[in-house]
Parts: sequence; structure tokens; C-alpha cells
Amino acid sequence: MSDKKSKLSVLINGIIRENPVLVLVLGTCPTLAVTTSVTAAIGMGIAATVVLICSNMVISALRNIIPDKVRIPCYIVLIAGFVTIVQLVMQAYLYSLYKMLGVYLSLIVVNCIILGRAEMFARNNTVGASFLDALGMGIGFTLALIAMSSIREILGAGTICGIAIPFIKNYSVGILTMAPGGFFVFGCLIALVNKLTKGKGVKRKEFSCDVCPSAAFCKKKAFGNPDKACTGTPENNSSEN
Amino acid sequence: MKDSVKSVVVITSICLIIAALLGVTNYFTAPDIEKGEKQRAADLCMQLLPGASDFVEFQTDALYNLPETITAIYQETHGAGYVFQITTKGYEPGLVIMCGISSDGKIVQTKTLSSSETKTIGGKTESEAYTSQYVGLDADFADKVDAVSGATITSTAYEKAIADAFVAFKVVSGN
Repeated sequence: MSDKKSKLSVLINGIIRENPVLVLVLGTCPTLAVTTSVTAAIGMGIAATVVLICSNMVISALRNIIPDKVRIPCYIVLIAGFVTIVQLVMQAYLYSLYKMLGVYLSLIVVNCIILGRAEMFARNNTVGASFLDALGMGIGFTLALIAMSSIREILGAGTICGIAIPFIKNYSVGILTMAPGGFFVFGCLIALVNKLTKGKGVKRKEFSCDVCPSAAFCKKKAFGNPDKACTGTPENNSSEN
Repeated sequence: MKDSVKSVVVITSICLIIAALLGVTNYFTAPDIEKGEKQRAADLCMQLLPGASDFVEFQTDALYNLPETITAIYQETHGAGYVFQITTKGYEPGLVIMCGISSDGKIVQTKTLSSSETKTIGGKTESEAYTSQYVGLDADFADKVDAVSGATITSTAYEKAIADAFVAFKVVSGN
């Protein structure tokens, strides 16, 4: 599991096999919020990728300096700092995009993808590998957002990047631009990616029991069988051991 | 003990370094942000009072009977009129409307600057069809405009905002 991966595989991992939105199901809040417009989706994707790359590289560089006890507050301070820098730059030079993203730009700080990759990858890998992982995850996130926003904007509003499409605009399915439609499109895309990866998208938990939210009631951990690979869900059947 | 000291030192250093980086970024971006905001306010004022040449922000601190909702007043430098920025609450808070009133007390144009209203209900007050009703009306506009059907709350808030703009107009123009 922790054997050396080629640089290219680290990069393309985040695009389909471990796509942060459609396989790992992280960062669903901004995904549903900004995918009503393709322009906003691309802007969000690029902003999140920039923050992800910066935070991954810095956290990886400081991985031997930051003590375990205070790692989460340190990561949050670093990520919040980078997000604020991106916000200020956007407000000064890309105001229309800044306005389109609104509050979701500042919410990148608590985007699970960024903290998740810091925890799962950056703190255990080199700066170079962390950069590639961040780039791959960022590209995967952006592509997922573009896929979702294209469907929602074209079929839901009859426009693309704000430009009306003559025939479709008269028959647009309004609900796709609202929350229920968003969830529906999201579910369909997850199912599609699952089919494409033939269900071989990452299923195994690649982090230790210490950070797993299910550790408290996981029978596998309770029965102490570290050799058997954890599937990431608490085992209910004790005979699994 | 040593661990705790190291933890405190590391997190404090990271906070200080990030704060310094943010200070530097702010130093470079703040002038451009302010310039952009002034430009956007000026562009909007030009839209709301066409043919105007320049605007200056009216100091509202000295005026004591302005409605609370008036958040900014821009005065056209050659006396063409005023642009009022009204911040009120429709269905959701944060409904900001700009209204241009010419020096003879008639509405030139109104525009929603920002709102959190539902696009298909209260958001219809942003449409041309609704705002064009106000063009050319004076302070007695109340019976002459139709609300958006199904969006009474937002429409009522909008009408009240324009009424407040007229009250402010009376105050600043001394009529």
C-alpha cells in the first residue's frame, strides 16, 4: 500500500481513480454550490487547485517540524493564509469571478479535499510528490466541477458560460439548477465513475486508525487485527476477524 | 514539557509568518481593490444618471433625518441629480438597491446592486420589466407601479426603498 508510486501515477491518481469529488466524496459543499455555472466552476477549480498546491507543498516541507499535537491548527492557519491571499488577489484583479464565487471562495479553507490531502498525503511524502498529488487532485476536482456544471447549466438554464443556447433554452429543466437537481446529477456522475473504474476506485483506507472517524465503534479495531486491510467502514460482523 | 514548548513555538511562528505574508499581499492589493470599488461605484452612477459627468460622495454624517436604509449618496458634480444606495431586507436581508433621481425629482433609473432573493421569485424585481415601471416617476409613484405577482414581500421592500430614496432626496436637495 505504501510502496513507491511512479510520479505519473501520483499525478493521474486524482483524476479518475481517486477523484476527490466523485470517488473520495470530499468537497461536496462547493461542488453543489458553484456548479450552476461553468465559469464559476472553472474559477473555483483553479482557486482550490492553487491553494491545494501551496498548502500541500508547505505542509510537506514542514512535516518534520510541526508536532503531531498541533498539526491540525497549523494546517488550518496555513490553508486559511493561502485562501486569504487568493481572495485578495481575486478581489483586486478578477472582481467578476470573485463576486460569482462569493462566500464559497472563503469556504475553500474548510474544503475537505485540502485538509484531507494534507493529512493523507502531504505529511507523509516529499515536497515533489505532494506537489504532483495536489496538482492531480486539483485537476480532478476541476474536471468534476466542469462535468457537473456543464450538465446543470446546459440542461438546467439553457446557457453555457452565460451565453444562451437557442433551442435548449426553451426546454430547460429548471430543477437542475436547484439543490435537488444538483444532488441528482452528482449521484449520476458518481455512479458513472464507479462504472468506469469498474468499482476499483480507492476503497481501502490509506490512513491509520488514529484519524478514522469510525475508530470509536469499529469492531475491527476493537478486536485488534492490524494485518487485515480495513475497508473504511466499521465492521459489524465479528467473525470477519 | 519540551513537546508543549515546541508546539507553542511552532504554531506561533507559523501564525506570525502567515500574518506577515498577508500584510505584504494586502499592501500590494489594497490600492487596486479601492480603485476598483471607486470605479464600479462611478460606472453604476453613470448608468443610473446617463449623461452625467462626474460624481462625488455626499457626506451623510451631518444629515440627521435620513432614513436608516440609505447607505450612500452620490451627487453629480454639475447638478444633474443624485444616486442613492439603499440597503434593506426583502425576503432575505442584504437587498441593496441603487436609485438615480434627477434634479427635478424624477426617477431616472433603479437597479439592484446585490440581493439574496430567490432568483425566480423576489429576484424578478431585478428584471427590466419591473424596474422600467419606475422610470420617470416622482415621489408619488406608489400607485403607479405593479408588484411582481407572487413576490409581494420583495416588491414591497423595493417600493419602500425607493420611497426612502425620495425622503433622502428631499433632505439633500433642500426641497
